[in-house]
Amino acid sequence: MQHQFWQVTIDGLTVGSIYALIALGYTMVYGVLRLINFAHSEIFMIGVFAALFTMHALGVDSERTGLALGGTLVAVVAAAMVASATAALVMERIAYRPLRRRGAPRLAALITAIGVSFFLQELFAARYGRDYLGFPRLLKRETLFKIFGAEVKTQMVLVIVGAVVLAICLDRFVAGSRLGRGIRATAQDPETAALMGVNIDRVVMLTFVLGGLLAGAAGALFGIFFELARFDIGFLPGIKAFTAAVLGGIGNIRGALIGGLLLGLLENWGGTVLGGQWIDVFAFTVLVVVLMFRPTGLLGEALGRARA
Amino acid sequence: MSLAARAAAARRVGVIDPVSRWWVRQHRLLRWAVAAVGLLVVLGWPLLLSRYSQTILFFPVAVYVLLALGLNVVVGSAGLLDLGYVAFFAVGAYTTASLTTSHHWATWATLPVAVLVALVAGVVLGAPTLRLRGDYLAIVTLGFGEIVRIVAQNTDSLGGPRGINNIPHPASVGGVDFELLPLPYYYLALVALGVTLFVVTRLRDARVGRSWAAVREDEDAAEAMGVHTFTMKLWAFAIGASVGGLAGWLYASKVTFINPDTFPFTFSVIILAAVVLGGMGSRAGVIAGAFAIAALPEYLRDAAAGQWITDRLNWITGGQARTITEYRVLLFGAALVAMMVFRPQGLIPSRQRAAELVDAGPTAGLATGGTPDEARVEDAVEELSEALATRADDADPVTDAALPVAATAGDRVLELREVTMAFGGVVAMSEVSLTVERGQIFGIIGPNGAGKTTIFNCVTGVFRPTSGSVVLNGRDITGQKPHRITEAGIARTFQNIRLFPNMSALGNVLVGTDARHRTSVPGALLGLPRHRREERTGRAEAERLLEYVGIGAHRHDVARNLSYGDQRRLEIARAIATGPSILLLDEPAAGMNPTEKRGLIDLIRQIRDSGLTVVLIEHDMGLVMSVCDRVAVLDFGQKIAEGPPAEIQQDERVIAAYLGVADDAS
Amino acid sequence: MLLELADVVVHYGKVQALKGISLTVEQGEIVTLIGGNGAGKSTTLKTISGLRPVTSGRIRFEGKDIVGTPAHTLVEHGLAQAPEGRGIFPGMSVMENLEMGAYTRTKAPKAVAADLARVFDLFPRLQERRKQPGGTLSGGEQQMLAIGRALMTGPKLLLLDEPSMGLAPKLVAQIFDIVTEINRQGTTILLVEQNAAQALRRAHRAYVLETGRIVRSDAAAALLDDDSVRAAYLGGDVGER
Repeated sequence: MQHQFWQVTIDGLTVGSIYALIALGYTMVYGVLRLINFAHSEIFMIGVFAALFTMHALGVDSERTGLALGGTLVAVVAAAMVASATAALVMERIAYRPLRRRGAPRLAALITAIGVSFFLQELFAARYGRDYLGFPRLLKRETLFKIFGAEVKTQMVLVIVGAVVLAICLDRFVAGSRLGRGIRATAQDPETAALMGVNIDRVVMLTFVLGGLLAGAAGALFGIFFELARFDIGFLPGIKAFTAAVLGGIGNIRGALIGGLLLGLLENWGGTVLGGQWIDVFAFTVLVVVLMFRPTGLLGEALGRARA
Repeated sequence: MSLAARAAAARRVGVIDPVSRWWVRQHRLLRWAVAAVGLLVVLGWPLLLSRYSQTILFFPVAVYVLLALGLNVVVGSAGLLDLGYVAFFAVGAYTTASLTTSHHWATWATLPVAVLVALVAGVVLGAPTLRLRGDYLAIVTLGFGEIVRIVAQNTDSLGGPRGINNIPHPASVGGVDFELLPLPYYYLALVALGVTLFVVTRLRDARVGRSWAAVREDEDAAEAMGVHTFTMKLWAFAIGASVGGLAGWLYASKVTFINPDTFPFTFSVIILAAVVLGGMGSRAGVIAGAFAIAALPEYLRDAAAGQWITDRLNWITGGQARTITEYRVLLFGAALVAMMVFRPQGLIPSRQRAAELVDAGPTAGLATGGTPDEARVEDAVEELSEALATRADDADPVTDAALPVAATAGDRVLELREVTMAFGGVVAMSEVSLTVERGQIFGIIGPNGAGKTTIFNCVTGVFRPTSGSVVLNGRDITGQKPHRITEAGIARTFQNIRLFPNMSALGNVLVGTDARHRTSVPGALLGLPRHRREERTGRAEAERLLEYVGIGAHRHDVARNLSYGDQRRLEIARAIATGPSILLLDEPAAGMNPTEKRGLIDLIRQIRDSGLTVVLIEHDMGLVMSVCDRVAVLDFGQKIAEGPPAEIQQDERVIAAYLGVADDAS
Repeated sequence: MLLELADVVVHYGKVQALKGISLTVEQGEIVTLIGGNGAGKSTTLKTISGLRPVTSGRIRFEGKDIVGTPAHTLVEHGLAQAPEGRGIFPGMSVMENLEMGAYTRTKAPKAVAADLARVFDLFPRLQERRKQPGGTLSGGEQQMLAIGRALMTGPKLLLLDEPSMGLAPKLVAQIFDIVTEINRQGTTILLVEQNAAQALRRAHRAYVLETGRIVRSDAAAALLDDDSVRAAYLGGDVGER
């Protein structure tokens, strides 16, 4: 029993790390634009596909080890990040910027986001079919160590460590760099930020790129972990990640990380108690409960406000 | 009816789409002719079609149109983005299927139950979530849609993933058999559509519809005008859900089998696309949009043009689709984006929704620094004095007593007892006590940031005071919701003008008069006498009030296009319309030139003479001193002086605080 | 002439907010715009700094037409604004807020350091509180930070939007003393004020705005003595002091 609890906990942390990475993208865009970028789940999906194709291109057909493994991992993750970031950038330019220019109401932006989401899904469905595509196994799945009898495997460590490191990098960048200050200033008061010489358009692009980079990394890690790709693979992780962002306090970077890990834990624990088929229902319920009783999330809203 | 009268009738509706406008303006014979031809086409044309086409006409076409009309109540009228609308369709269908197969109900008997269960589902979903911000609501509804699907999938009594088969058809009625043939169902769907259209039209032109428009435009201002925003949103949700349930019943009884995959998220988005494409809030648009989205792919499937498009898309995407139906959702997704970017109001827009969606821009704060057109101001002033003169002369309906002043008891209308308002550590107002007596014009002055507007916000329920109490006519109203306080008899205007910018002047005032009305959805639907009476008197009174404040000539102008001074007047009219015992004016003279200010002074006195008590926040000392009976001075959230103007003018502390020059005597 | 507005018209939607504003600011002056709430003072400043689109008219800064130049570029040309309501970034420390002022000046670290020293010299309080989040400062400190941050852009023209708003009389006087000092050190200032008495006392020249139009312009001292101006903007009805 105890052993099962810890196994579920580790599984939860692994999925939670992926949620966290995607949630960071929602949170960044929301913090700056007050827009729920509904199509962010498709940015993630593009990362999954990019990882798969990079593996094909690199001729991965069996497990790799040592330097070859390291090099391949870096290449796969980097390619996914670039692909997702590019997609995010294009999306901002074509779909969102015209609305922003016009000062369109939020409803319009949200509808656009949904349109983009479906367009991208169907584009991938048309091109790559509607069935699951399998990944080749890149990483030998072996137990590295045990905690309270629960097995901790290589791919779990990769996902958790990768996600936490990237989240910390983002946090440092936003907190410490000049561009990061520009992002925070725009999030807090765009008009005054412009008066300080911040090019808002560029900050918005940067925000989408950063969100895309992390979603791409999440996609690659997801692909390596679950070894599956499909046009609608972003849907559920996307909504869960949004839930995670709200749980931690949307617009709050550390909140997204904590919210992601926490949601991963909660839904895995909940799934164990209620039965695996209710996992998604449980996650949605968490979302509704959080929104009703603590809509600002655990750490509060607003980009950069939690640090300072 | 003359053309002009008909045009006026069209405008009176306030919110109107171009198709309806055209419609109302045509000669009666022509309208009859068009209606007859239309009905003939809708009823007769399907008889000439192949059975396959007839099937298409029922599903997807009629069902889509029905669902789109239902979703339009939620998205178009109330401005709430519902991404899980298909859930209500599913609830209706599953209710029908379960009751007929497991409990052997007659299919007809399940109809009201299906609608009712969907309605309840709408309320159950709406009650906890409708207080959320709009974009959160969207995600929660999406989650709800998925929950319904997953529950169906995992519940054995609902057939699990296999769903429910062999749902019985409805029994024949009057010789019409409902079996496999599609046509009877098509006519049944037409009846459902007719009922739905009747409902949405009735509600649109009633208190409920105006409330929805107000909530959509400015929820806080709506609340301040006495609109029960939450209840009204819940109604929208419930009505939308019932229509969904109705469509679900139709679908289940015709198709006879359903399973969880009948109700994917995509379905919700397709219906949303229909609403957006046609034009949110426009009935004609939504019907056309749903028709296009349902019929076009079917039509194009076998057409050469469809094949051509499919080939091009295959070439672009590298796909191997055989027919255009496989690209349906892709095209709808692209259409959603394209519509929002290039034509957010839809193909056949509703006028008001178009104005809201096309250029919100920096005008959202409508009034910041706006200014009036001199000539029109002169006109307005002249008109006003004329109106006042006439009023004195004859017993015109516009008499002073005609102001809807709430009954008051006692001399103290409003009392603040040691009210403190702190935000975190910042104390915006500290132990402020005020007593406003009946028939007074009470001024509150003080430098910018002294906490004047905070007083109004505490009194009207926007903020809940940290401590202390607010008493209206002897009743403690501390911490009540804004709409309750409005009903209790406090009306206000806003410092930065918060009209419903895309509604007509008349529409704005009607929302105010509605604060005193009781008719809700059932009353409006049934056309109960009270509803008709309220509509009649409300309209008459709104028109009178517009005359009263001097902008009767602009009653059909959209609020945002009024001059600055007229907007201020309109805001006052809207506030008075709620039937208050006390009127709070927040910097009514801001942005006015001297001529307008003089007009305003006359108006405020006039209002007082009609029996209303007035509290005034102002910067303009001249105005305050000449119009107020009593003045309180605020500085740093504290009341530093109170008394008649003459006394206040001599008060050293006031001079120091307000003019800010005491320690710099020159 | 440092700044020149010629017949500038600005709309919010269909409502005309500015109806043809013409004004000039010479090198080294303090010029003030006074008028009631909603007269268009803030709109004028926001239009100059590129935050509001111009319907018609010309704005020249150092002889160059700047209509249509985005706000973030104008900062680099030497136009700085301390916005109405101060616009402090609440989640950033005082130091970070000041660094935001120098956001575009990545190529002149020495000049930035010198400006920082100048700001701390003018506002010693800011140096004391440099690690404190901007949102936790008092109103007066926030106003100092807003002005200090604008100075960090290295401006040729400083636009101040109601620096006295919400401040105690003592602090108001202090802020205006510093404004005068900044001007004495060579920065030209365009000042929008509700507190007309103080503004007129500190400025060289003044314009009176009413419903989007300039209705008077004169030397500040002359307007200070003018009866109609006193009546309208100096609370003339509040007895003679």
